[in-house]
Amino acid sequence: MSKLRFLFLENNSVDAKLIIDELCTFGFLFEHLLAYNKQDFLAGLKNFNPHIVFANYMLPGYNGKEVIKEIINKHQGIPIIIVSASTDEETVVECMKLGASDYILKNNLTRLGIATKSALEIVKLREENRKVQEEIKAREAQLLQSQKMEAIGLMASGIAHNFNNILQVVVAYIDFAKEGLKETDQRYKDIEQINQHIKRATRLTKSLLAVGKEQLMTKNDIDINDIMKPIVDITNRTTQNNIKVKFITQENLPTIIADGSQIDQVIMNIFLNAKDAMPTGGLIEASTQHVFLDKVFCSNNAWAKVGEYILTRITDSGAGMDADTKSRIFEPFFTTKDVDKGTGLGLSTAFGIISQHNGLLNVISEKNQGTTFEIYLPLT
Amino acid sequence: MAKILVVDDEQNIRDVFKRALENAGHEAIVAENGIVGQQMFIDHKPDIVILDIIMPEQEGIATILRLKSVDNSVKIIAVSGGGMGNAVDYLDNALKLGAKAAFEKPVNLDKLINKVNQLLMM
Repeated sequence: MSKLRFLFLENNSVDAKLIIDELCTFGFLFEHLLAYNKQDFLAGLKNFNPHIVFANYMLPGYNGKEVIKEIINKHQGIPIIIVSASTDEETVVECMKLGASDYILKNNLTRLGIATKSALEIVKLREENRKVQEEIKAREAQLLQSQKMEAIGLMASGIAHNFNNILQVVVAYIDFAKEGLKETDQRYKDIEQINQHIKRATRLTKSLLAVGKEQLMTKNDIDINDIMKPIVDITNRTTQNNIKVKFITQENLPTIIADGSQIDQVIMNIFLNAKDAMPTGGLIEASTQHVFLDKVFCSNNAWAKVGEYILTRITDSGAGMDADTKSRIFEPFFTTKDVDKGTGLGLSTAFGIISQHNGLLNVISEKNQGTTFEIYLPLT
Repeated sequence: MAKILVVDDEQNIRDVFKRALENAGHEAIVAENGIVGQQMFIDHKPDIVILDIIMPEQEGIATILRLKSVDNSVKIIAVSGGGMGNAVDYLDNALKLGAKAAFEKPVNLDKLINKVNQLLMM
């Protein structure tokens, strides 16, 4: 364990030495900073990054209450122990009320060690508690997301089934209506137009069925760069939209077991989104790398299992997204594009595909800061 | 002229398939679920069965197995609009269980009739 950092505010160097000796005797291993005045103390709070503060109550021009308020307001989480010569009961109560961890009298330092120990333990417990709460929150959010996707998938497939039956009837009557008409007949041409739009509707229901549900996968050993390189090349060769791609990869990237055409669909989709986010052109930075996700990462990311992954990052220099848009981009039918440009199914399908590969599709974005998509795919 | 049995839970679809088959010169009989379809298969001995997969009462996959136990050489064309899974999965299973052809709805009528005629020649 690294050494503890103790910050002392004490203008009497003899007292300071007694306090420090007492803490050493108790068995603490620490480095310390001794501040003699307010200015040094504030600088110490900022730069020394202490685990705990020991403050004399009565300093010329700076009393214990102000010290406590300063820490509570600006450095929350650092415990304060007042070490004072004053035995005024009212002061003690007031300090404790304001948030001091303890109040020790200078003429009786025997309790200092144990008070310090428990103040530090409380901080540690609070920190652990905060981490647990955060993890619970993250897991709840992920559970909610997967439940949401499942419900949406179920609903989508139900709609698709009924809709396909309706389309079947329409397609049939279109055929019947064409009977006896010449191909040059305007009515025949009109009916053909209806047919074209039925085909669009058919494509839509097909993609609906793909939302949030198991798709047949044909898994093979694939090198993610075999998918990335052609997409990068074609984007760089298409000059009219003024978009350049910078692609960085690692030598000898390991292969993954995945459905190549599905992964291709996901990456293609992200590139298309990147292009749409940069209507006047810009830079797409893409990279692939071999990463190891350890216990710490996994404890913060419920989807992940400890092990080796390929991480593909695709970053555009476009408009970015606000928090609201970001929270909804994997929802089916959510789109910010014109009606004829997107169905709003691309990213929700992409999310489904990556989840089915036991990976994660993650988005990092802020308004006017561009957008990064991260695809984690496990090696095995 | 051949006799074709259409099994589908939706009346509109039975109507249009029947009309298309009759336009192509065949006789079409219809059933609204797998149980009725199975009985009609025994009673009328159709040359081909056009079978929906997701139906109430007795769905298509079970119906394929039953029809095959009645007549192992039965010619079945499975059709499905998908549903609680992927249409492709259902149709894939239908083919594995012995359907001769499988179409996702909506299927073009010409394609369906061509397949009927092709199976009749086999």
